[in-house]
Amino acid sequence: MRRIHMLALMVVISTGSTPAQDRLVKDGSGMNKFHSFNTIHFLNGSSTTSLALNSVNGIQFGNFFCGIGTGFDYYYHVSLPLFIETRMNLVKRKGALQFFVNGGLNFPFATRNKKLENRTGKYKTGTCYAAGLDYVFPVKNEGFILGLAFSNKQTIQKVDNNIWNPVLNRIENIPFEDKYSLNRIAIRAGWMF
Amino acid sequence: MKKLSPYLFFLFSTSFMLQSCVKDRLQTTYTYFVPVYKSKTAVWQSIKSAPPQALKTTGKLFLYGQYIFINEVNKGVHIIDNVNPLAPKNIAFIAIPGNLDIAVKNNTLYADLYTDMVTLDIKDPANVVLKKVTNKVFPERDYNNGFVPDSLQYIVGWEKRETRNKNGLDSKLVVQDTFNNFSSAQDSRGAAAGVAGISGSMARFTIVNNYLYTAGRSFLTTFNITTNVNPVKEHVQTMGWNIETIYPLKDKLFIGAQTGMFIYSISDPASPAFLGSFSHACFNDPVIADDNYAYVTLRASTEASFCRGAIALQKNELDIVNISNILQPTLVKLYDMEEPQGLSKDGNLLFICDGKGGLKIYNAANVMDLKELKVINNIKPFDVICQNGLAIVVAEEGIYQYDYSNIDNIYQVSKMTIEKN
Repeated sequence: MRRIHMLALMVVISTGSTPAQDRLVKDGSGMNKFHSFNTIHFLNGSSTTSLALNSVNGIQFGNFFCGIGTGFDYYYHVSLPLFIETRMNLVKRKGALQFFVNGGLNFPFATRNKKLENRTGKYKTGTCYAAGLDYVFPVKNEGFILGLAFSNKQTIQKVDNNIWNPVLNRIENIPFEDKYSLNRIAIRAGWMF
Repeated sequence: MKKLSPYLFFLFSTSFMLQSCVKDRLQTTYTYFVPVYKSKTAVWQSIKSAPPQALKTTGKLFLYGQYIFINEVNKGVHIIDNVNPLAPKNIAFIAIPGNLDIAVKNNTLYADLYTDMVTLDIKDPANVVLKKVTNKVFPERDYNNGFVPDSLQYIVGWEKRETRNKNGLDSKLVVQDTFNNFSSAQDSRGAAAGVAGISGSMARFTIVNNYLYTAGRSFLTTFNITTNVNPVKEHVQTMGWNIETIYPLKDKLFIGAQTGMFIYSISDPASPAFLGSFSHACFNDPVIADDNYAYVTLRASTEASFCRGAIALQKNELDIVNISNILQPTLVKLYDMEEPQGLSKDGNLLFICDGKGGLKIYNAANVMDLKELKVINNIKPFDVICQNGLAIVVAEEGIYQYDYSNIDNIYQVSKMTIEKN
């Protein structure tokens, strides 16, 4: 149920900006424009390779952009990131070279540990962040994105652990905490409009 | 696409080069317990009557005169004045680290202190006096979690600590069960027996006339207690493994083990002699007996899974064993139970602590057809002592006393609450 609520929230966040987009585009001022960056990431880390999908929606202020992003991250444990992203145009000729950085929360989506199956227990929300460079190739008024980034996501699992508690003189579940810090190099490709 | 090719080549090659620079990490934070040590001399000096303490993790139960002695597992002994069963009074606490078993005779209390045994003069329960410490009586006794102090110290408590391990994810660190140690301490619920007092069925100490018998995990030790405050070790008998309880009846001792029941003759009280045994699968099994039958409860649990295997394969039952031929005990009847532990018999009345099944009271006049008289199912009992129409029951929720002098009207006389941990 919690996961459904989370998904619904993320859908609202990622789609709720569309009217704003229309408004700003029609505004025509050229200063404060809505943009949506939708990317697929090929993630390469020391444990595995995997994919992630991101959608970042926000507003461009001159050379700067600020937006809210969400998506799916399939690396190691499936999770849903929710983050704030800022980006800046470094070079702008035909296309634009952009530096971006983002950070936020990483909500666990998987309910069991598929990699270490003997570790059962609840997952907790962790953090996530990323930084990298995107090059936006102009295609009419939109753009094709190609980029490279470093990204980190944390997943926390409270692992069931039945041990003898000599204070209470009984076997007790005193969970230990596994905090996964997953570092990846991401090749990013996507579409900006 | 041709335009993109150099970019893609750059991205992929850079990605694979950088990939070697990043590493997934797993940080595990776990809790463990460390022992608090105290010198033996300091511990002996502290063995005296102290103000009463709340009942928390109660163990064995022993009745002596107007007093109820209740073991607080690994910590000591509560003394309860039961002169008025309607309002039992917790009057004192004797701190004995590592204590699991007790027995009382002639105002003398015998108690284990980890591997040692202490003898206390309890003439005045408010002012008990340590009389003797007998060293290394229970060599098999474990300290929890595998800690072994040197010969000058005891473990008197435990501290909870946290620690962190950082590892590469590939190392698949496993700390689960590292500190899982099924020490003998978990076999601690029950009661001790004696001539002067009354015991339950889960005792490891019992007194018959001038002899104290203690059951270790695999040894039966005999002490001469003719001089009450000076027990003298006279005999050590090797028995089977995982001995759990000891029950005296006339000139016999019934020993409950996880693999069966052993019967010893104490015609020569200084040197018990093996008579016969009844074997069963591996279970927790306190035993009591009357002239013709032994009553053995078998309980499935994880506590001794080393020997019993999967819980699903285990049974919860009451076995009735014919012991009229003591050399060849034979099973005559078994009854299904839920979670049976301690049991007690007074005349034809059989009381069985059936865990979540409650306290069950049977008419056992005909063992082939036990008649259930009453079930008290709002408690989770694990040991019971019946004496003169009063059943004293140790349950998870408290220590209950029931009047059964009229079997048609068994009612609760009092309750002492056990604090939840």
